[in-house]
Amino acid sequence: MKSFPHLSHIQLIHLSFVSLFFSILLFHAVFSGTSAAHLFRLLSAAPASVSLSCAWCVLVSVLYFYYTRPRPVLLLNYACFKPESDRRCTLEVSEYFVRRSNRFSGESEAFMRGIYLKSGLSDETYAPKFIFEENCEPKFEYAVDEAREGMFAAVDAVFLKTGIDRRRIDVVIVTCGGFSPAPSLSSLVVNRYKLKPEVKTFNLSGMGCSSGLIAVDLAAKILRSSRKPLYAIVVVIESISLNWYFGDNRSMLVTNCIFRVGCAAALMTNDQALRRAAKMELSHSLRTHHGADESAYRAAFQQEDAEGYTGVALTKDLIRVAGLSLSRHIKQLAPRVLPLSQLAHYLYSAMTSGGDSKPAVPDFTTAFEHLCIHTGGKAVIEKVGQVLKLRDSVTEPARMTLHRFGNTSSSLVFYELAYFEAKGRLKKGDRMWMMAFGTGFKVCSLVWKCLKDSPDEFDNPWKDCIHRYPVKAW
Amino acid sequence: MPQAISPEFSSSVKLNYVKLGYQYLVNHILTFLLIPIMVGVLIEVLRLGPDEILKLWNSLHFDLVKILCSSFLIIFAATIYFMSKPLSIYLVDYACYKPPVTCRVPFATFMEHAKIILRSNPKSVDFQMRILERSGLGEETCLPPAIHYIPPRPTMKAAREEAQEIIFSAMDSLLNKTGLDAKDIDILIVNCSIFSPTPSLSAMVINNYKLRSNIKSFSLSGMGCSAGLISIDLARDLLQVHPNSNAVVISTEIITPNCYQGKERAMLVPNCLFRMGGAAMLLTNRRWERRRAKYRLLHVVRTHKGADDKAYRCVMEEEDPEGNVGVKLSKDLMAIAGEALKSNITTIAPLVLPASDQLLFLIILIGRKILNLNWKPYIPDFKQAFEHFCIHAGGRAVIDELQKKLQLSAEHVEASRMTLHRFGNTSSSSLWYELSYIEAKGRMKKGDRIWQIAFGSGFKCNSAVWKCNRNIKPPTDGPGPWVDCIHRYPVQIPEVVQL
Repeated sequence: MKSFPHLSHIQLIHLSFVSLFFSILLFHAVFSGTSAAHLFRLLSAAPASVSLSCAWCVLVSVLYFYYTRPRPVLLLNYACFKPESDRRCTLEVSEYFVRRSNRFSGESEAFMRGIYLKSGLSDETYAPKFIFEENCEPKFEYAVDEAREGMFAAVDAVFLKTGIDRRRIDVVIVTCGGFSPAPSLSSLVVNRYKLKPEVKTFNLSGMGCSSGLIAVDLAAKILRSSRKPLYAIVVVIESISLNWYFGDNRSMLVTNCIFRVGCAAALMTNDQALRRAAKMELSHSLRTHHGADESAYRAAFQQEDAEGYTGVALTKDLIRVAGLSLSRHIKQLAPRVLPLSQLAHYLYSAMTSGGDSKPAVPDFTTAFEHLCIHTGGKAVIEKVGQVLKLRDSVTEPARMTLHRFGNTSSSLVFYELAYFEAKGRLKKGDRMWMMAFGTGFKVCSLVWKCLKDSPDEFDNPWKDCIHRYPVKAW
Repeated sequence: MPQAISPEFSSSVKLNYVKLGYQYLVNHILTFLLIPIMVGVLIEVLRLGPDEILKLWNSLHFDLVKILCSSFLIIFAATIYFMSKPLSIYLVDYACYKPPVTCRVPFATFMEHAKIILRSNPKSVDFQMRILERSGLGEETCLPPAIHYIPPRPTMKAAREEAQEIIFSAMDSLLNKTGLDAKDIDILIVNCSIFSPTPSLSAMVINNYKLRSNIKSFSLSGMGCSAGLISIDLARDLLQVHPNSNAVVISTEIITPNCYQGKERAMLVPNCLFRMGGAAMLLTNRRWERRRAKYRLLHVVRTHKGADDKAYRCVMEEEDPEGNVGVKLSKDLMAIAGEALKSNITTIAPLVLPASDQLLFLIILIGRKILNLNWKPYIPDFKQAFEHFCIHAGGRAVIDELQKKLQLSAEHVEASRMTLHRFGNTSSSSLWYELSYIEAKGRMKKGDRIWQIAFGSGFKCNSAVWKCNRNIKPPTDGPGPWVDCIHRYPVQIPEVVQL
């Protein structure tokens, strides 16, 4: 189908420019009977034409460069939802709920207790409301309430911190993995904040733990596609209430033990006038999808067990699949972000390795000052550390966020970002790599550049406990 | 009948001619201005004679510098023009899912199931019968196999099977029709309102067709019947950012988990109207596909009335007192739909109406608001702007309401009514069945403009405007949804079917 390279409009224009230039020269050479070399000498001797043509060349090239560069996308601010302390999920609360519900066998209880204790989660993570209700049946309205509570708290905070007028919001993207009611959660945001009728809403669902970064990437793409200044609000939430598993299949019980309540909202824009107020700028984004591989697709699968209870089965293959997908992902990411020295080193080792030994993994800490890794669980963090050859100090924020907030699914990267801010580690010009895995199996990376030093936010979820961290999580 | 033409008739005919003349004049004003100028120039040239012209040419003293400057100027202007234009988006082709005959639910089957399942509530059974009688659906609409059980078995496995059946059929058909290689897909968008499993439906498609690892996939959910146009809008935005790319959009609604099993009346209505269906579309911004692309996307206009509480609540998913989850439709759905449509029209009118209508609208607006004259508000005639209308086949009431509001003839809404009759309310994919109908009837000509309108929960009203890129021959065989039955259409749909 592609017999010759197909060019975009701009490239065609420039090709025609070059060809026109040379065809004119040729035309003159032919018709005035002089040779091309003589003509060039003539040209160089005629200063006006040369300088003029050079000036036009430079002008058109500058224009081309300016217009075809992607417009920078800025993260103005973000906020994380922190429930009240009476919603803390301790081991006692969890065990009490499990016993009260009377739906689990003794072995399942023991299994869940074991997972809880080994998980690396503290007793300060947050559980949804229905765990504390008398009636142990999750109802539809609980899921709606859970979503409303998280989203409204986070979005209120973002509007307060950025001071942007609600009527200026042009795009709303909401992602919620396991819950998509009608009307959508994005319509709920429009209704609550009385956004303008021209607002574009998108509601993503079922995209797993990487959906937070996917939503941010989507917002960036929409912002880049327009020349006008646009404002996008991205809300990232996961619904636990309706996704609690009441059966006895072990691979499905794990999600009960590690998923917790959390929500984050971020305000993004392509309006360069707000650059001073923005926290970070998006440099690169990369998504890879490994669903073509059957084992990767089935690694985390929502299905019914033998009794008909629905749950997400996390197979033992998940860690291997995560490692493999990550290796494939960094192969694509490395050339875009690594400094030349590392790239050269990697190429050299790849060429000289040969045979069975794998080439040395490039050191990503040379490309980024901070790594913000989605921490699905203890095993995932360890695997990531192993694949990327990261020291403990690099995976510390991931481990601490898992400890303090549990696995809040797609919003976890924002809680981790807040950890960096609370510790005061972000400096202007630092580069940060945010990475998350998702079911399917997807890996999504975002590369940010910090535009400000870590500010002291009043609503940082770590504010009251950062002095205790880092702790030994496991 | 009367031999003499009545004066009102003759004056209305004269008015028609005046209107036509005015429209022709304003829409072709540039031609009317240019022609005398060109004629003048031509006369002047002929008068001068060839020698004088050559002298004129030589006196311009074209040298290398001037030629280079003027050529650079032209190239510079062309660069600015092309860079400021957004990339054209083409719909290469699309494929609609045709459900198998075994899934058909004639009225008798539906009522029998309803009587058995709701035997403790004869009032609800009566209500469903009345809805079905007036629905405008035919006897060939289809429901997925899980719903054919008594009582229905909406398991996740059955939902996935339905999704696989619909989506893979539509995708296979699309890949066949377009000759597209699965590895050539750069963007994948799947929209399905009620069912969103983990991993997502887009991951399911990627897994089955072994798509590339750097594909950009999105799974939209919960966005109602207008999600198809939202996906098209999303594809358009993404194609602006990724040049030389292909985007596949899959619109479907999976009915299996959507079956309401309670007895609340307002929640039983979707059971009567929603049916199996799905469509897959291939969009591209590659210039070389322009030759074989069927349509070009001109505009997508989205209006969201969620800021108004009444509009937000008119389609709500909630639990009834017995714990069954269903979608509740409020009684003022039509009024809200009308309001949303009015907002949408206000935005789309300046983009699509011909210059004559806009000028008239402006004059009347000035007259009414500024000069305070007592003129009637001008309702634009959209039949001038579009040749075909695809109104989402949400239900008979929706189509009737829109036909009245937009002053459309029966032929304009025929595609919508016939799609509702043959396939039922297939939610976001119904617009594509309607487009398929128009093509199957051989009415689509090159240059025709199509207006697709869909409503969705929240409350949203979305429109898309397409322009037909080439003459489309009606398909005589193959997997098209209308191929085997188009000869029977249009049918006369009675106001009330006696059950």
